[in-house]
Amino acid sequence: MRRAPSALELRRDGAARYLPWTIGLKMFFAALAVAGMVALERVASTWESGANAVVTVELPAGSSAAMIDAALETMRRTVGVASAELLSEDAMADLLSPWLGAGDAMQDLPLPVLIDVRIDEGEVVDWAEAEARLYEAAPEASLETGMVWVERLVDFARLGQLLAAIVLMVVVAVAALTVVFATRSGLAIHRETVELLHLLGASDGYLAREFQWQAFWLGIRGGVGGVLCAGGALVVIGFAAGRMEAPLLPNVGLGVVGWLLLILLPALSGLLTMAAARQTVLHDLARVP
Amino acid sequence: MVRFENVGMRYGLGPEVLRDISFTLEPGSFQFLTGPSGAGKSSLLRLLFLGYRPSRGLITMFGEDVAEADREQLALLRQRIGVVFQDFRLVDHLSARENVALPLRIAGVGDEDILAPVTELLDWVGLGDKLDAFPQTLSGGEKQRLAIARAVIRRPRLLLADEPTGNVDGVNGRRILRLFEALNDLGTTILLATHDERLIARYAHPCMRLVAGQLLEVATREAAQ
Ligand SMILES: Nc1ncnc2c1ncn2[C@@H]1O[C@H](COP(=O)(O)OP(=O)(O)OP(=O)(O)O)[C@@H](O)[C@H]1O
Ligand SMILES: [Mg+2]
Repeated sequence: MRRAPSALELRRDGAARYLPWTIGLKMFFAALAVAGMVALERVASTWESGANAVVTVELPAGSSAAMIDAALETMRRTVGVASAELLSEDAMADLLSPWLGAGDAMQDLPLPVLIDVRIDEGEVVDWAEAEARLYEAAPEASLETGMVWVERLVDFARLGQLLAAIVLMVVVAVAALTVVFATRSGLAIHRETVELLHLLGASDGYLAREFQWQAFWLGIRGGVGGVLCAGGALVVIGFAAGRMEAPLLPNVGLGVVGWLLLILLPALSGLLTMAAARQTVLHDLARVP
Repeated sequence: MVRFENVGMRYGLGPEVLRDISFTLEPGSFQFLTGPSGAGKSSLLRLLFLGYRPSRGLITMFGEDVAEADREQLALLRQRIGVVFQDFRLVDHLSARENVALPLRIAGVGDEDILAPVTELLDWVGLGDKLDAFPQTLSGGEKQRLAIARAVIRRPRLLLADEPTGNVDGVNGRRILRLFEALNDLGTTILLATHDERLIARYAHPCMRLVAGQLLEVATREAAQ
C-alpha cells in the first residue's frame, strides 16, 4: 500500500540517513551478543550433562581379573553409561608413547588398569552414587570424572553469558537513546509543522504514529544490515572453530533457537526503535503548553 | 458556541496584549473583528483556535471550559474549528490537493472519501487547474484561496478567518465572502478578522472592534453609522 503523503517529511531528514547505520552497528553487536549467549548456553549445558566429560576408572597395577570385572560390571550397570571398556594394552601404548616412546619399555612398567567410560548423549549420570557402588564392588578402584574441572568450565561459560547479556543490554539501551535523540531533533526541526498539525486537530497520538512508523522502518533496515553482517561473521567464526577441532568445545553452534533469534532480531530492532520514538514524542509533546 | 469572560492574554512574560475581553458568539452567527494593526486581532483568534492559553479569564467553547480540557479533548475541539491563518501556513512540500486533504487525514477520513470533496472544493475556490501545484508556485491570492479551502474542507462548526481577503482583488474578495456566507447558511459560525473597513461596510454582519488589546464596542453596522 502506498502511504499517504505526510506533512512531516521525516524521510528526508538527516536522521533517515544516519539512523539505519548507527542502529545497524548496534544490532551487529547485539546479534553477536545473542549468538554468544546461545552458543555458551549450548556448550555449558553439554558440559553440565557430562556428555563430554572424560570419565575413567583406574585400578592399581596387578589388580585381579575379578576386581576388574566387578568394576566393569558396576560401570556398565550405571544409568546413563553407554559403555565401559578396558583400555587395551595397545591403546595404552598409544596413550603413553609421547612420554615413553614406542617400544618395549612399557612391558616392564607396572601400569595401572584403566577403564574408559562413555556416556549416552544427553544423559546425566549420578557420579556420586556410581562411585559409592564402585567402592563396594571394587574398593581399590577410583573414579576420575573430572567433574570439578567441568564445573569450573561451566562457571566460566556462565560468566561469559552474563557478560554477553550486559553487552546486549548496553547496546539496546544505546540504540534506544540514539532513537530518542534523533526523534527529539526531528520534533525540533519540524516544530512549525508539528504546531500546524496540532492546530488542525491532530492528537499527540497522530504525531507519534508519524514518527514511530518512520523509526520502525529505519530500525528494520538497520537490524537487517546488522544481522546480515553478524551472520556472516558467525559463519566465518564457526568455520574457523571447526578447523581447530577443539575437543573441549562440543557443538559450538547456534542451533535452531539461536538462528531463529538472529532472524527475529531485525523485527525486534524495529519494535525497539518504534517504541522509543513513540514514547519520546508522547513524552515531549505532553510538555508543550 | 463561544463565550469569553474577562479574558486576558500575554505572550510569555510580556505585557498583556489582550485585556478584559468579554463577548459571546452565538451559534450560526457571522461576526467581523476589526481594529488597527497590532491591536490583537490575531492574538484573539489564537485564543479561539486554542493555539494559546489565556493568562486569565474564562473561555467556554462548544459548552466546554477549555482550561479543563486535556490534550486529547483539545485536539477534538480543534477538529471542529477551521482556521484561515493570516500567514496561510501551507505545507510547502505538499501539493494543493494534499494541503487541503490534510485536515481530513488528521480526522481519520479514508483515502476513498478524500479525493472527490477536495477536488470539488479546489474547483470552487478557482484552483481547479492547480490541484498538483505546490504552494511556492502559487500567487498570494491563490495561496489565500488554498488556505481557505483547507480551513473549510471539514465543514467546521466554527470558522476563524484572519484577513482572508488581504491578498485578493475585489472580485475574488466578494467571491470568498460568498463562500463564507454559504457556509454560514449551512450553520457554520464565522468570525472574520480584517481591517478592511469597506468590506465590513458592504455586509450587514455585526462587528467587534479591538483597540490596543481591549474590545471597544460590540457594534452592528447600524450602530456604527
Ligand atoms: N508570538 C508573539 N510573541 C510576542 N508578542 C507577540 C506575538 N504575536 C504578537 N505579539 C504582539 O501582540 C500584539 C498584538 O499582535 P496581533 O498579531 O494580535 O495584532 P493584529 O491585530 O493581528 O495586527 P495585524 O492587523 O497587523 O495583523 C502586538 O503588539 C504584537 O507585537
Ligand atoms: Mg493579525
